[in-house]
Amino acid sequence: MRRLAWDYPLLGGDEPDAEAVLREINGRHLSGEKAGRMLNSFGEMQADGSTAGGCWIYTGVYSDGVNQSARRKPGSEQSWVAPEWAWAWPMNRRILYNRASADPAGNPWSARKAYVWWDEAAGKWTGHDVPDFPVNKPPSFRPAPGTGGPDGLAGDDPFIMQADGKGWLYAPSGLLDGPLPVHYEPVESPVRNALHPQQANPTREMFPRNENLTSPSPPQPGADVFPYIVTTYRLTEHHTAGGMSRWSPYLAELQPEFFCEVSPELAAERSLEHLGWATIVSARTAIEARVLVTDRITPLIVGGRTIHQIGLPYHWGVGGGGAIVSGDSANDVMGVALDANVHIQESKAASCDIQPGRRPTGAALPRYVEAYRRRAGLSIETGTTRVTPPEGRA
Amino acid sequence: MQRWSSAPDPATDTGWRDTPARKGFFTDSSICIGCKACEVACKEWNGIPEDGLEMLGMSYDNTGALGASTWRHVAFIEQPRRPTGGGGFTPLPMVAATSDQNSPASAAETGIRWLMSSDVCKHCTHAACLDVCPTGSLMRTEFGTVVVQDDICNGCGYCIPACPFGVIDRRDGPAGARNVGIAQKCTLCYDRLGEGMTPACAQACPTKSILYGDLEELRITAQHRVEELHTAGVADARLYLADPNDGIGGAGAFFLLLDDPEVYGLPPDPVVTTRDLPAMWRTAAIAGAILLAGAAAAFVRARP
Amino acid sequence: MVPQATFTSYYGRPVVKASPWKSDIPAYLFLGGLAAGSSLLAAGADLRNLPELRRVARIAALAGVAAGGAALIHDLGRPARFLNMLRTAKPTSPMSMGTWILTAYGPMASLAGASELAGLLPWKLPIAGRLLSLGARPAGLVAALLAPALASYTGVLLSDTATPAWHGARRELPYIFVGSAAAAAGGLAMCCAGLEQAAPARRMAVGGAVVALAMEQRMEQSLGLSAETLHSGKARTLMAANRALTAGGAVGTIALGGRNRVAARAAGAALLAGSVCARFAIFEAGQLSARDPRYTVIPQRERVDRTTALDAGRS
Repeated sequence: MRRLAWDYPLLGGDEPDAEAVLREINGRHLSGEKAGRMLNSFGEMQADGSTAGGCWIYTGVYSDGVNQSARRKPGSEQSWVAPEWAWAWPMNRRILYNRASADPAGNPWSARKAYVWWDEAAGKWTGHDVPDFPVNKPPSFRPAPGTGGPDGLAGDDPFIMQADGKGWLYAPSGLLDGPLPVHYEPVESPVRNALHPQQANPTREMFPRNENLTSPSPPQPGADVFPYIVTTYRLTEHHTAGGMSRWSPYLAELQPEFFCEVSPELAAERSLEHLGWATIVSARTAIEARVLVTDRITPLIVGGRTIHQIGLPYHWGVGGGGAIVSGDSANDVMGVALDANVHIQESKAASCDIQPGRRPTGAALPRYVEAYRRRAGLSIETGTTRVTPPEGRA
Repeated sequence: MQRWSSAPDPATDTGWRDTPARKGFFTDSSICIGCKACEVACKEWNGIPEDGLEMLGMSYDNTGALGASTWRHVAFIEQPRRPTGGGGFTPLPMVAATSDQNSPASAAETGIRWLMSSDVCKHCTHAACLDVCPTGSLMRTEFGTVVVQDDICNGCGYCIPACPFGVIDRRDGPAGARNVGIAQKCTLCYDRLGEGMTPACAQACPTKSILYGDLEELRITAQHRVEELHTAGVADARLYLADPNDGIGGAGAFFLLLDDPEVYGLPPDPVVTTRDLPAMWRTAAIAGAILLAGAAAAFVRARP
Repeated sequence: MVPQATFTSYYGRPVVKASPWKSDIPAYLFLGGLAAGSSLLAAGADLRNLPELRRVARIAALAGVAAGGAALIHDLGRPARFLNMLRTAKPTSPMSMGTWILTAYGPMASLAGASELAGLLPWKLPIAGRLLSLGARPAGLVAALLAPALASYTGVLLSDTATPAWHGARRELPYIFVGSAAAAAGGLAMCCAGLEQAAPARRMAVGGAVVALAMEQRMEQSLGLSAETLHSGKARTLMAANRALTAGGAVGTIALGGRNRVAARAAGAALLAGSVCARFAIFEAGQLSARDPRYTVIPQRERVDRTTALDAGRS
């Protein structure tokens, strides 16, 4: 702790100079003839104590002693990759695995989309972006049999963080739902999978509990009780999340209320009033939001049917003393079902109903949701079938 | 007697000597993404209080208008796609919405274009707020901008109805906030300009929709930009307040818009009210003379 | 030109801002006018040796300028800084000019008024009383010379704004305001002075009422679209009341004002009330015209379209 840098210059009271902090993260040479100079790339970092840095992927953001992330050179004055607009980690590289933009021989697949390529005369990789490949390894390089690690990859193996250097479309191992990509409907969907009989991902992780019920999807009965799709998104006005936004007056005033975005068609169908209140009900619970009617939300036409979608922004919540604005949380209507490979929750699509007016409160709220559950015939088993039974035997 | 300011360089006209080049903003709404970073950066730098927590339902605009505690305001306009040709518009690649090809007959109208533009004080060449200020609190800076001197303004409120853009306002609250009771508006970051810094909004703008610089250069940049857009088929692009011959003598802060000014809440043909002031004084003089003569006449037949 | 039925605005929000002024300002418009008219009456009465009319008018001028000045200060966002008005003199600012007019007029009218009040006291003020009576006539005459400016500048004060109904009435407002000032001052004198001495007050009141009513009529034409605001909201009632009271008061003055003390008082009160209503009506109409974007956008849009059509015709 005592060796850490704490001596940042202060700006206006107790606020440390952000540029000084960024310089510290970038890192510098501590000894040797370059002592005091900024590190230009993480390749210059040494394990012998002669260099220091805060986070290796950011090394280079202050290369040559200049805040590279503050660069604003117009796109018209540089290549179409615009490497001199701000800075990207690591090493200001804009696309990872970019050696794949060139064919096995190291030439661009398309002259129009040339990105990085092998310069035979110079004997190195070059291009509009920083090559994501050992810079002097020629396309023709073939490792000696039995070589392991990065040295075991050939000059036409662009995916350098993979064991075999290849990108996989056919993935015989590693994925629980491989070996080929395929489309599944979300766990809750108002329509049948149009591609094949299997409705939802059979490998998904489920948590069948009373608080996490799932509404039925076709061909199961009861799907019409929750006829709409609800989706979630973030707002530009929110910094990171509710905790950092709802307590900040300058952000809170830009988006002061939790709202639901609906199309004029859905507003007419459910008698929703612009700026009025609406209650959004899913198999989990009901929440309330102010109505924002906009032409930007358009009904989807799927298989000849009109499917309405409702948009809910994230990052509202109640409680947590001192918040300047509060509102119901979109999380509450979403269910928990995880992707089997990376265990990410399915929070971008779920089934719901929407009604004008505010939601019931207290004990009336679970009763209100329970009535929906009964009508839809929900149980803990609903929606937990892994393999969709053949049509007609639902 | 000095009437409304008429010289092309308002700073020199006001009496400044050896002034730097006139400074201003060029706000190019065709590349505004509506992030509102300008609003937040402005408030952070200038220490402006929060200005109301009301949801307005005007697309994503919950700010509403410029005011005493809002010196940058991003307008959001959602327009249904109109048929192209005639009075229609050409969608910009980045603001065009795609419509579902499989939609029913009405699908042609489901696309919208989403206009955003960051409004600000115009720092007029002929500034009505400055002209009518009775205390001299509103002043012309050496950069040609118009600034309220907080320690002089007594909150008479005259500048508020005088402004043809509805920019300046008197801060009414919250209680205890700085400068309550006096007129407030954008200073074009006078305190930053003096240090050679860029105003906070322009500094924060991630797309360079807000450009700050020498006004003469900005006007050239803007002319190139509007020509570029016309060449690209964006026939709706037009400059607003860039003409030194308009009713306010051109603005220090001018705009590239994609529709009529009133769509963004801006007046289509603003005129500085003091242009008509000499005539108004003449009318008042005649009226006063009539009153004096009338009063005298009333006593002509009076008996002691 | 027929106004466009539709116009575009940003969610119906105002383009210009309405003044932040409350009823202090229309009250001042009335009180300042009353004081100005009264100073003229007082000076005439002084020169023509009509002591009762002189006393009433001088006291009215004193009361008007004192209350009007208080209203002006009360309306400030920072009343404690009202003296900042005297930092500068700006012809481009009608409020600055008005401040200097008031600064010159106020002490003169107050001195003249104070001498009348001193005369009403049951005891004599030894030195001050003599000074007051010595200074009263010159002060009253100076006040009367400044009074026309005080009565008319307020028309410029309102017109020199982007408020459509005020700026649009710039050719009429000074006339309406001097007429209204004469009617109010004459009306007050009719209420307080005897029939015989009040004859000049009656003539001034009737003349003022005629000028105000005629110019209000012309204002309706000049305003074009924003004339609507004189017939909407609060202004509608106030304008109707102004017309009825002013016209009724003038007719009553002509018919009975010189003969019947009760009728004279009623007519005078009607003229006073009419003047109050006129100031508030014009104030409210302006506020409404600023708050509704149609009065800003439609005339400007028509102007732009005319210019565009003209340019197209030339090329």
